[in-house]
Amino acid sequence: MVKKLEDKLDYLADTKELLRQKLNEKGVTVSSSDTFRSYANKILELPSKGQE
Amino acid sequence: MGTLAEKLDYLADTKEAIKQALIDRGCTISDSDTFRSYVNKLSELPSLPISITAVYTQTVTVKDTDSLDVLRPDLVVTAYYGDGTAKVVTDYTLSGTLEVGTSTITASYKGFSDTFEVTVEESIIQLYNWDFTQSLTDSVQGVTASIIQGVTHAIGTGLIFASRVSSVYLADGLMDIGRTAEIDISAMNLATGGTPGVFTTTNNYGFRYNDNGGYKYWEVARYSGSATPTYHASDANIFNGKTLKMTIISDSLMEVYADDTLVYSGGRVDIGASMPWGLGGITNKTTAWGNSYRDMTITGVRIYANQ
Repeated sequence: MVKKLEDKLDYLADTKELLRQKLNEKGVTVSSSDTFRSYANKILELPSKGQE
Repeated sequence: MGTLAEKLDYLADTKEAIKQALIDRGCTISDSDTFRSYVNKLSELPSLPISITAVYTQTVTVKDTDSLDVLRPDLVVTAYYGDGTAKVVTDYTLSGTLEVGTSTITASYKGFSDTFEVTVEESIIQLYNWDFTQSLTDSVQGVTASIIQGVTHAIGTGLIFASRVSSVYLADGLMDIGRTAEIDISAMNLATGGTPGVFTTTNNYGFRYNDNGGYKYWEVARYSGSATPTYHASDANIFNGKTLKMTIISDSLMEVYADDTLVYSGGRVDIGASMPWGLGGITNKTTAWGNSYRDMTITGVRIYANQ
């Protein structure tokens, strides 16, 4: 059970990192020190789908 | 720090906040979508540029009174994105001021900007344009040279050609500082000698401001070193076929170009003169002022106001 939780936490960390990288690719600056919670506002910096 | 359960709740709230942000931006997310799938959802959103470039290749004349929008056809603004892609954009904004000379203009897009330089010319408004297509029978009409000897036309009716191919006057005092008169001379004949009067220019060939009995005008002159120069047959046609551009620089300075060559710089302008300004022409002496004349065909006179 502990290991499974660790795996999930690792997977979650990977997801966070993938989101961070994708946001940076999109032009939104996200550093490693930014909280996960702040990602929501980072996403809102992007244009809406269909807008450019 | 809270319990594990509290942390998991906070994490769930974070996921929900991200989900709502993605939905707000137009992504479709179902309850069955995994958190990891949000990465792909994020890929669906447009990118922000990470830089732009503005490359301007000027192909048109830009005036200082033009709108910045006249620059757009020659301007390519490219946005560069973090994923390595680039795109030419058109919904950029331009800022800056077009001033005579070289102006630096800024193109901005999505918070990024780049500058470029534009060569700007002075805006010139054409005030008058007379084409001389017929013999002068009236001062308002055009002229073919060497006519109407000894006739002084009424002031206030436009151009005045006082006697045979004389100086060209404006009747309304338009020859102000900053204005330019452009006179097309298709045929000029200075072969006839004579004593055109007292000249003060120090140029061998040039224009001078003449104040003769109330008639004030710029005239073509040849200064031979004496107060009363003499025209020679060899002087003929020195401006033949050229376009003379005469610009009043200041109260005391006038510049005259024959085509693109500066032929005269000097003279004065008596702004307070009671008679109309002369725009140029050939020194005229009729029986009233002398006994000689000069022939010239003027094909057009345009007067520009620099504004």
